[in-house]
Amino acid sequence: MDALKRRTRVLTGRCQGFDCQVPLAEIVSGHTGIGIAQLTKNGPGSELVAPGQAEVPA
Amino acid sequence: MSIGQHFKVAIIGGGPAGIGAAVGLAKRGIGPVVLIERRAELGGTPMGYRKKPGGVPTFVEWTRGRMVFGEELAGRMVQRLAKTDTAIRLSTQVTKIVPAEKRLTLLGPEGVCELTADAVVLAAGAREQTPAEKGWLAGARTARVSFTRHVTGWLDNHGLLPARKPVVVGSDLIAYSAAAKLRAAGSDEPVMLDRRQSPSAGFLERLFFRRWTRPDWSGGVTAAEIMGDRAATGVQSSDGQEWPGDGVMVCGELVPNTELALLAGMAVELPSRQLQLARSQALSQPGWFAAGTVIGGFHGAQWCFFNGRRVARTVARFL
Repeated sequence: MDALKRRTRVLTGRCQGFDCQVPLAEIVSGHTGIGIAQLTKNGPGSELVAPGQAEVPA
Repeated sequence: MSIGQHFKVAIIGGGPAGIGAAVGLAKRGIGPVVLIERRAELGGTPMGYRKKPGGVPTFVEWTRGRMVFGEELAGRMVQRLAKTDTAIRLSTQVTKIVPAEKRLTLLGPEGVCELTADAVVLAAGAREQTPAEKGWLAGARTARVSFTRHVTGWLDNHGLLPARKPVVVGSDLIAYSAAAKLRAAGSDEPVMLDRRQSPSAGFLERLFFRRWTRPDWSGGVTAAEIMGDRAATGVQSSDGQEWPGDGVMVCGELVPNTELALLAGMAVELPSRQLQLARSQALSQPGWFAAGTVIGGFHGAQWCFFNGRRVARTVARFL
């Protein structure tokens, strides 16, 4: 996610990530096939949610 | 770039206040009206508070003695809007403003376009303060430092727990609802800390959330730091007290979304970002008005809706 932020300035605009962080994670997960629970901000150990979970779709 | 449709009124923001304004204007027979919404759906903030079995009822309002969830409440407002002939532009942002001519440049799914209006209502709502904006919460920007919006996003849409041992920073109604949601989803009892000596949520509000959570409260924290290298591992105060956890939720304390007002050169107080309002919610340029949480403070969806209706009256008088 940090890599994207550096390259595209996503998460740094009007809402400062307030509205866009979760939708962004959804988009990244959709494109890369990495589960949302496994997405990291900056490498292993920086998962966006508490690690070791499986997603339960709503 | 397509040049100009002209509207009587342009409303920026499709949340309760924007919808209230559109409904109010339609009732007065003013048109055509255009409603511009940044997201792909109408309803604004309360839309994010889904009704779930076993979930914590948050963002509720009492109507005729019955509790109504955020999602339902916003849904009803959207239905009322559908009965009017307001033009709606979803997934559209305002990128440029010429305030005197009330000319807006929009970026939407069909590209860039321009429109003009006789009056503009700013109903952009508010967001939560970032740690940097709080000014007393320092530390690294690690992963798992989240807003309440993220908590509801992870929990309600993905069934993911943002933290097992959450540290909640802030103590208003939003912070309590976040704590309750986390607890109900299976986290440990949250730690809650704030600069204030006593929680900013009222006694009855705290009583309501006691059903789900009794956060471990620490008040009077004057300066603190988010600990952690890759992900947050807790919060440490300047006098050495530590609250370990595996995620920090930065909750409440809303900042009005006044970026557009700044863009238009309106009078805005900085750094608080509060709009300087003349009477009847008029902004510093003629023909510009504001409604809803963008005017500052902490308000329920219903209040915003009625505030939107009220601004419609003012706009009608202006036209």
